[in-house]
Amino acid sequence: MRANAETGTPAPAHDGLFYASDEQLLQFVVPFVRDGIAHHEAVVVVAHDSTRKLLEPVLADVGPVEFVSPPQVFRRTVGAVRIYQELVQRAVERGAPRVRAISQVDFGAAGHGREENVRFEAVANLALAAQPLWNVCLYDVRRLPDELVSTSAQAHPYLVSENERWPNPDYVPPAELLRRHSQIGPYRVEAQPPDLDVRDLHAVGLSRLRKDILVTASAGSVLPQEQIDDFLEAVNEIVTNSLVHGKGPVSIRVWVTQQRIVCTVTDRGGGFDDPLAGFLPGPMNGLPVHGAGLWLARNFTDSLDFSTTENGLTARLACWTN
Amino acid sequence: MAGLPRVFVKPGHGAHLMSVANSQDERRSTLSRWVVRGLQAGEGFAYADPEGSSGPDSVASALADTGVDVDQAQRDGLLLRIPMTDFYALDAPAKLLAEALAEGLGALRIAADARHGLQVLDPATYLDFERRLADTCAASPLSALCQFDTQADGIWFSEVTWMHMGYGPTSPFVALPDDEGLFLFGEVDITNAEEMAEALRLAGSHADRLLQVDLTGMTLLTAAGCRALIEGTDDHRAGGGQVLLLGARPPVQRVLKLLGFDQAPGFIMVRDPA
Repeated sequence: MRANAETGTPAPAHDGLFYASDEQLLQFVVPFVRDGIAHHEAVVVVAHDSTRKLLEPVLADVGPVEFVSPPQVFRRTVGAVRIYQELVQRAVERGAPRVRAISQVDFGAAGHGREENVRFEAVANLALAAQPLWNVCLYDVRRLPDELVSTSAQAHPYLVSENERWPNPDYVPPAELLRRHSQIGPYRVEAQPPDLDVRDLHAVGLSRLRKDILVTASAGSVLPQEQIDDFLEAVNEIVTNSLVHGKGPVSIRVWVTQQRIVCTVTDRGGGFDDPLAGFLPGPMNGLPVHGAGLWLARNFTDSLDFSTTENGLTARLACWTN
Repeated sequence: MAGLPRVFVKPGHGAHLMSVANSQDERRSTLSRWVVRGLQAGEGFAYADPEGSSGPDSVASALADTGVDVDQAQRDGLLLRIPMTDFYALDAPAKLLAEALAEGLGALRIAADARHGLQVLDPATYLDFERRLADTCAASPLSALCQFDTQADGIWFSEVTWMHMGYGPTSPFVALPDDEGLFLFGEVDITNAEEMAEALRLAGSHADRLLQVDLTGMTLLTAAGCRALIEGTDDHRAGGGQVLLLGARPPVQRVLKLLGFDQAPGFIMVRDPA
């Protein structure tokens, strides 16, 4: 396929490439990169070593390509979005009209990386909607679990192959996709007694709660002080939301291991149905009044999820070492 | 005083403040910013450093780094270094204040450091020292910044914490007005955000075009605190005024940037207030 900018491929574009052979991958990537360079666009490839080894020698003849490894980008959704925004900004400052990205999206297989994968793919459709960025996400169907492949496919408005680019008939808009797919269950450590167990917290207890979590986390984990402080801020915002918008009693549990801190916050309220809440900043000019806490929380913790049952709302936060 | 928030210190009264810093840098910058504001207002400053201490650990060097002409301030009688055993004595703060007032100064600030104080006094006596200090600050123009190293809990630490301003049934927070604006201290969350907004409103009503909000001593700024920053300065900014956000520590800076204060009309963020 001639991935030709002249055919009017719009930026932003968020395409999915689902391939079953190295040949298919190369047949798409090489013309895609060549066209981009011909039009003075910046080209970025986010890929694991194995894929990089395949692409780099071939692309070396085509032109300058920036290679980045997935762990540098895909730690948390809002962070990954920011990195793409910064990539685009740098390229634009250097005079490029657009950025073409080839992205092997991978938040890791362990823990809840798969759910974060879906989150990022869904949120990217909105968060990067104003960027001059043509992002093609790579999915090697030989190596990835079927479920991840089919869910990720639903996040892309367009699909590409070595021959064509077409609107994805199975595309699911971001909010609905998140609603369907991004809930996670408890972490394994939650089966053990918590290191901190606070029942029925009231606002006056916020300061004390923060101090208690600080002491418990500092003593029990190797996470750096800054990361613990960040996590405290995230917990504070979630607890505040429960106190203000939820229904008591508000309870907090914290588990600390060497490598990870997990915190659940429960209240008896009905929760809220806004799967995108906290993934996008509010309007910067007006300064957000509502939703600011959740946006901060997502920026200060590695993982944040909500689940609602007839008993109420449970928020689950976690952060871990690099 | 009707309308004054509980944690707002009326000019002319003393503030008994507690500071727990995460690093040597934070400790130095919080102390020196607070002292400099006092010096600029004509208040004296008295402190004690261990014998032979000079160089980066000393108070004098922290002040010098902020641009204070330490020698000149000493010659002017504004800066007093006191021997440790004289400083950490039960009646020392009140005596120092009386001497300063006799010299013609309007007010005095002192800085206590628990690490040093506990070399001179045993923990129980240090609590008495703090108790007396709190009483003096509440009744006269003596202000004290008490620096502590530890964030760990302990009965002693809890007791001494509660003697300081801003600690009570809400998160610890104090706002100190001066001619240029406000010096904020502590944590702001939903328990005290309205008080922060009120302090800002009052300061804004007295300020010229530029309202200085010094955040050096703020350890936690939440979404609620940011909302208070906006609401408390609405009138000031609507009238054409600007709000200078000074010296925010890195975590506070991140919050401000995430909520767009670095681009918001009417707000100017400055990292290094020097």
